[in-house]
Amino acid sequence: MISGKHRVLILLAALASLDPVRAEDTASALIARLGKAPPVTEAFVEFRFSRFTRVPVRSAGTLAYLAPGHLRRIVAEPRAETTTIQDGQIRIERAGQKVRTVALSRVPELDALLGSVSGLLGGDAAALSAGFTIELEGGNGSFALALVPKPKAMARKLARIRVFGSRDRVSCLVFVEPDAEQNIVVLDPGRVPAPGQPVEAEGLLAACARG
Amino acid sequence: MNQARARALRTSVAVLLVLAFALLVVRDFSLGTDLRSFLPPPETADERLLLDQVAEGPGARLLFLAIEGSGPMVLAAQSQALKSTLAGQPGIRLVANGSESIDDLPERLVASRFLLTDRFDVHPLDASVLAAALHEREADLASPAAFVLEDWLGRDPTLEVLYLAERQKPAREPRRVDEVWFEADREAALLVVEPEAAAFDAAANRALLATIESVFAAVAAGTTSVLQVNGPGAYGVRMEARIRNEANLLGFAATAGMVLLVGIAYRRAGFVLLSALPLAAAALAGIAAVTLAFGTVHGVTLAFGFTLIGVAQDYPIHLLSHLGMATPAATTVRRLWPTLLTGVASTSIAYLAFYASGVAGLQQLAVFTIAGLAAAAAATRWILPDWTRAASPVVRSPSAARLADRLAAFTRLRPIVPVVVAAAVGVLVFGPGLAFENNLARLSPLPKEWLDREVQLRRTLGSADMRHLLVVDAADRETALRLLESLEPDLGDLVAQGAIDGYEHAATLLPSVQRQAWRQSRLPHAAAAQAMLDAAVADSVFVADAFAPFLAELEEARRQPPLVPGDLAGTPFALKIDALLPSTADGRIAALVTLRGTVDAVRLGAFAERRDAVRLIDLKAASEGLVARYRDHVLDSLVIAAILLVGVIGLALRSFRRTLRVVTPMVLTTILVLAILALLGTPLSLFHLVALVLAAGLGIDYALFFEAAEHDPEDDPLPSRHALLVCAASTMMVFALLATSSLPVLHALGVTVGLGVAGNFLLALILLPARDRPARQQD
Repeated sequence: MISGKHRVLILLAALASLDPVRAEDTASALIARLGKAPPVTEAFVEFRFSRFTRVPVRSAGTLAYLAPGHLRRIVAEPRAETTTIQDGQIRIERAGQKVRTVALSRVPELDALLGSVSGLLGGDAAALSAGFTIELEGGNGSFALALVPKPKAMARKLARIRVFGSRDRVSCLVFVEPDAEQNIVVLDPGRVPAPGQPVEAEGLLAACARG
Repeated sequence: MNQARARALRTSVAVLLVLAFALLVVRDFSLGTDLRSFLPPPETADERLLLDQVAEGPGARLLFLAIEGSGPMVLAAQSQALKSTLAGQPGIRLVANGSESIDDLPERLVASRFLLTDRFDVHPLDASVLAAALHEREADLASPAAFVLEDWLGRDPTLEVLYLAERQKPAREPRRVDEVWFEADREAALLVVEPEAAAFDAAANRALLATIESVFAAVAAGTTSVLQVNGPGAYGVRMEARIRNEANLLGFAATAGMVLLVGIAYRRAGFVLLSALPLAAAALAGIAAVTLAFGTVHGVTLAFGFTLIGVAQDYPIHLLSHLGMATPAATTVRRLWPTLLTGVASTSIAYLAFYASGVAGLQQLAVFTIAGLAAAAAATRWILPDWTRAASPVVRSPSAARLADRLAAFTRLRPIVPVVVAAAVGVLVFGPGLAFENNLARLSPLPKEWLDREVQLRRTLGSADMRHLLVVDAADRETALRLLESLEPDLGDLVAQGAIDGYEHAATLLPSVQRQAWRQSRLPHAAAAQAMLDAAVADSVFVADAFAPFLAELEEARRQPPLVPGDLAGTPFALKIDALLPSTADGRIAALVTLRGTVDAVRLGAFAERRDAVRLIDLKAASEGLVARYRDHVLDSLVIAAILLVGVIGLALRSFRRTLRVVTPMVLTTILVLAILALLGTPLSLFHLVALVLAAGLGIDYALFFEAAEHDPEDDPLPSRHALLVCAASTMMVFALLATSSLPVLHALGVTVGLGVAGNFLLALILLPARDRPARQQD
């Protein structure tokens, strides 16, 4: 998930939009279009860029949006693990290890993930703007949003969340940390190089920004 | 010297004594609540260890806080807030609530981690070990759990810090909510507080509890949360408050009852004051004597002291009931004096048995009682007659005469007595039998619920079961640690064989200096470390530069001095190490190996036999043995006291037959009370024995006076019967009040003595009057 160093999460999303986006589309209308009825399950591939690593650390699994405030991240590789965020608590379960429970308030990065995904997939611009300042970055057919966290504890760990997508689907979430390291989550198998192939942050971002 | 001057002299002496005692008490009196005062004195090394663990060990001073009454997340937040505020308070060494993370570890410990960890003992730190660790870290980076690790990654890629932090946690961790300890079966957040003050420092603990309460009030403002504090320190303070409240209540009730009783019995306001005089003298003398001899008066001793009301009351009552219109009080008292003195002497001898027991609390009790009774008797003999004028008219009243006749009728019950006694003996011999209270913890005057709650909390917080312990004797801490390390292979075998599930000792937390030095020598030097890192990193996604801090700390670890227990003062490690390496009275170390799970005592015993310095202790057996041996000791003393008592009475009465008559009601009553207790299923504790002795002393008093009156054919039996009735009534009232107490000690005392008084009263009435004596006419 989002934390610490650069991570590149790549959400694999559906393909390009069908209609061109009107120029005067506002952020709220955009977000409203993104809303889906829960439960929503998306496969994802996440790339974490860190100053400790030569290449990004890759993980893959499914992200399930079960209800507002209820998120589940099931990772299959590199190690099986399930993280559930619910009722303000985080539960981390790994095979053969004790279940850990932590308050969401103590991990601002995960709080940000929950807030952004709930707001986006719930289509709730009002809820989103309660926790983030929303900036629309652009465009035609495809869009790019920037969510800047408002709470100080969150802002200390996360500079902004960039959301790429087209029409009514989110294709990538990029978590940018204050030291400019990034975490890119892609929801589109087509945009992601095969495992073992070299991956660059710029290349991934370009693939995300493509319509 | 004429009467007036004699009287003035006596009065002055009395006043001076009172002033002296009062000054002493006011200046030096302090109320003790040390709960060890009623524990038997240890004799063997094992028993000393047992009592140390129970009473004085560092674990014994811990306070356990439980917060409940709100939702779990609220409680968790309050637990954190409480911890952060309390940790900085003076008087508190440590607060733990489960949220201790690796960020809380002291820097000294972190810097020494390569010397403390045992993970590189078998296979030293090299490229393959490091490569495996880096592989794990890579997977961690993809996980939310990484948020704990990221600050440490560059310094500690093998996560030795996390390993050490995990090791200091209790073996069985309670469940957690938001990283904070909670009770298993209820919604209550748990904290452990280690105070500076020992559990028995009542003043410091009082201040500490007040601090905790006020901090909690601030933290929990506006919520429905409540705080519960458990632990010996808290119990001492609560006991003190409770004893004081109950003592006040009982004292007030007893005083009111006494006033009422004396008023009804004698119909003279003046007599109320008169009867109170010896009583006040007894209380003052008792407290002064104990303060002088011991420095403090234990709260329970003071509570026992109220029983003196019942006993000391008898002396003025005998005098007042025997007052005749024609005879001056001084003459009356001189006639009663031999009987009075015999009563005091016999009771004091019985209490001397408690003095011989060696238990501080009982010795205080003995001194209190003997001093008090002596003072009451002296006041009755020398002070009271001066202030008494005429006889009490009620003694001569028709209603009193009717009462006397009714009481005389009790002799008709004489045939029943052998039957009842035989039944009682039958119950004792063939019935459920007398159970003795062998549990050391139950000898404590604390209520059972408090003790049970504390055990429950200690178990939840993962203290190893303390029934079996291995003790390793060593001259000093370093030797102890080395010995413990040498036991490791054998202990591992025992675990493998299933004799124990697990164990813990000081060396698992802090290795000996010798072992640390050995580990230090195996750490790679700078160039080798760099090569190791490069090789490990080559196969991973990591860049070598990221781990420069790791290399620096590795080098630092190779140079620094080994860690000793003193370096860890003020950390949770220190708490555990102090508990596992206690010093003995002679300055040696008795290192403990605590055991987990079901213990195969036979295999452990065999293991202990093979190794010289190792001993297996069964604390339960040791404590029961201690209690049983101690009880035998007290019983022996009581038998001797009983013989002396009969001897004193025989000496005073100079007749075997009379002595027999006096002693019989007391003996029979004791048998009856024991039978009743056996039927009730009450296990007999020390306090029951004390109560039986007290009841016997009272019985002797009744029998002596009664028998004396019956023996003298000139005498009117009415005053004696009246006196007996008032004495029994007043004593019964006092002990019935005690029986209502919530403190187990006082309750036991109240019930037992109440039964004893009733029995002695009835048996004296039934057995003692001379059968062939004609009914007296009234004048």
